[in-house]
Amino acid sequence: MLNNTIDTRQLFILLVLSRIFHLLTYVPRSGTSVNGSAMLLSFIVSTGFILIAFLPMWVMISRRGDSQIIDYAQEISPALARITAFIFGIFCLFVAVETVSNFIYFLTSTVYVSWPVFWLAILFTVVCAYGAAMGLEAMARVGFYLFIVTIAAGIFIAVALIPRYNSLWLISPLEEGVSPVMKGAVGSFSTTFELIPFYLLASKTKGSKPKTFLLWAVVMLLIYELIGIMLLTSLGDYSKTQIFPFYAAASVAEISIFQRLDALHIAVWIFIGALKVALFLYLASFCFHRVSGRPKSKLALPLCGAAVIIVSSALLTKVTLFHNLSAMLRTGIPMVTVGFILPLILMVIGVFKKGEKRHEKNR
Amino acid sequence: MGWFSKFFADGDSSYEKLTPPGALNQKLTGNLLNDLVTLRALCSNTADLMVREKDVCGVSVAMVLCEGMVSTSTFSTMVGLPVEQLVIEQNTPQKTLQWMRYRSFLALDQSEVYTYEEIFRFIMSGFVLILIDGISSGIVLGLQGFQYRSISEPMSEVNVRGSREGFVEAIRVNMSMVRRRLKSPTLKFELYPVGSKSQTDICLVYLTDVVPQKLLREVKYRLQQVEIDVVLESGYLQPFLEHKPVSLFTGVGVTERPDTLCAKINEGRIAILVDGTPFALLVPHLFNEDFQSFDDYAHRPYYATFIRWLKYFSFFLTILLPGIYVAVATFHPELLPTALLFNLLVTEQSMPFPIVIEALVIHLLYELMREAGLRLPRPIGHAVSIVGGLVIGDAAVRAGLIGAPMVMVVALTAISSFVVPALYEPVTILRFSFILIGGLLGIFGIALGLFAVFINLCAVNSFGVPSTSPTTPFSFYSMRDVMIRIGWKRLGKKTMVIEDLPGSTDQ
Repeated sequence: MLNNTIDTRQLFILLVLSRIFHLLTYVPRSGTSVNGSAMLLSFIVSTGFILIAFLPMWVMISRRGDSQIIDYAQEISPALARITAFIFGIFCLFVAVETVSNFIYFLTSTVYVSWPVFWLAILFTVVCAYGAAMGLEAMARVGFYLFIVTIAAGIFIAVALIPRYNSLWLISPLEEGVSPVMKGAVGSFSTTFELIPFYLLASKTKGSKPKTFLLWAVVMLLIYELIGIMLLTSLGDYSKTQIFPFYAAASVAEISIFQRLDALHIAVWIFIGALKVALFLYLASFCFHRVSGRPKSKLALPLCGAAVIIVSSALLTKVTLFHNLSAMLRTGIPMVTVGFILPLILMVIGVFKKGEKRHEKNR
Repeated sequence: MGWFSKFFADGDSSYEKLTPPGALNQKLTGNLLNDLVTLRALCSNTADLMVREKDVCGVSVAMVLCEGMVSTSTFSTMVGLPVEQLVIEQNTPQKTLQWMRYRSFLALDQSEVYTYEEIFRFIMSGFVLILIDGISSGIVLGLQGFQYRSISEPMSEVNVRGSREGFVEAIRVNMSMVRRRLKSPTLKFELYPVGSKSQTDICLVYLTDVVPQKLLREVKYRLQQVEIDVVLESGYLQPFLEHKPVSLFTGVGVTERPDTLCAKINEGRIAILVDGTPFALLVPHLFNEDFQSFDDYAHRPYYATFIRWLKYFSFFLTILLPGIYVAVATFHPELLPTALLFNLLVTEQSMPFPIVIEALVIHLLYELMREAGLRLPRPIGHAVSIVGGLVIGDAAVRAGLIGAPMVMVVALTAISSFVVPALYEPVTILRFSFILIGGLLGIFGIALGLFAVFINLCAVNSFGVPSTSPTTPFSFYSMRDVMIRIGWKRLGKKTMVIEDLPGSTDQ
């Protein structure tokens, strides 16, 4: 069987793909959205937020490179480890639900308009659960292939849009002031769920995690800037009116005999979405194993999958609930709480505990 | 059940009396008459057991062999004549044994046997058994002379360049073919019997300086778990060497070529030869090896690289083309160029079946014809081509049962599937699966299905080595023989060793 350890390159690729999924399904809203040029600056600011949020984990990894955040909580107290695992487990489930909902929302809005939501959710989640059951190593290996395909598809679409690029759409990011930039930065940071896999997979990853995280943050910033510029200059204000601007760009892109590259976009997007959901289902079941104290239990993954199907179907049946959830997410509160405050608390408690132990030893 | 036995009142039972399990483990007593009686009883006096008793300088000696298994001319020259001319004064059974074991060359392959199980295994492998009255052991002499197929070109791995020799059914001949190609003292053969009834000889082949010891131990352990009565083909052993999870793609390689086997064991793998079949097993096996052939290493690098890419393309074409065609035609016709779309619409409008049914039926018909072509006697094999090509293909299109584009798709798919013959089994299943998935779920279903297939493939570890290595986990150095094939001047500088691939773990 697989050992379920990966190296930092594989982790990097997994998290790049996970983040790209969100970009592909970015939904600007007319009237309330940040203009595209401001978003270009927002990405830079949100990268700063991400790096700040990672600092507590950086300190923890520097102390114990082979431990992940639940192990760190375990050193403080077993009960705290269970609570931490539970919180992260719920958050990972939440991310999986959000991803599946986003995916189904996209499919039923653009491609398969008359298809029943529930069956789509079941099919997609079952395949993702199967992927999660295959293990972290298998997902990481698939990630490599998907990474190549995604880069190739991105370049292909970018080249196909060349005739449409117009730099007139690039305006000053501060034209409407700093507020839209900060709003966009908070919105971008609030959906950077990839911090959580870094926290949870530190013990299963060989190599320098802090360097990998830094590289990931920089590369994602570059990708975001490139895609942002591509969408802005090819679609202009048209992108603001589209539910899924990247999909719209792929639809209008054409090169030689290849028209309507949206099929390519859909296929790549499905692969990436499946991998992301599989990863977060795996992390959720991993966390719940730590909560239950039964690492070999085979119930956690099917239960997580069932929860994802039920909740995402319910959300999509009541679309207002889905939009409210997305709005709540964009406030940044869940991400700040789980991604920054909780690790910070653990770090501080850990430092105090270590100081107390040293004090006792010196006596 | 008295009426049942009365039905067979003439004394014959419809069931063979099973030999008690302990009987074969009995040792020879040293009394020649008793030993011969026991021997005959244990094999139910089978018609092919030949026993010849002779007096050798006053000592009774019996020679036992299976008819048709021993070379009579070799026997006469090596054993018959010397024994006939033997003169030992005041002969005793011990003196006779001494002469046969240490003072003569009755056969190059000689061994002593003590139990009936050993006796049967040897004489049924073509050895001659010599029993001496008063000695509680027997001598077996390797004088095999049974008929076997001569060495010919392998049927399943045809190459343009390279040797035309393929393995045959006789394991010793196969061993010699490997030895001729690897004249290294580090090449080792280990023979084992498997199969409780068949006692089939299998041979582990490896290089002692390259093979990982943990791999060797794992392979031996797995082969010890084989509990089958009769092992007639290497495929019987394959499931015992596979790893979880269950996958369409195997972690055990198969080859019919001695040159391929030598190349693989040079990389630290272990080969398993099985008596009675020309197909040898190789472990560990990587997915990308299914796209490699011996010809790649004989051709120029640029052409070999082109052929590799052609194989990868063919693989994806054969599994995805029918499914994508069905998916696009059913759910996403807007993706097709306008001219093609109109042609398709005109054709499909007159078809009585939905396109997914059409695809399934035509592919099923193709598989039927292919399977029939394999099993038909050669003289009437050409009739299958006529029936398949003209009657089913052309007539079905003219009758409006299937569309011409679908026939094109089937033809392309079929040709592509033979470019990578090693993957024919999974490709066939995947093709049908994707047709069904494409017809029901469109591009969405195909993408999900492809994701499931890839993640299953990536989860396969063949004896601790990732099946997708060296593509993922990525090794730039090892990629020199995967997507491209670099020239021998660089390729030969350092041999890739399977143990050194990234992601490889100890068992």
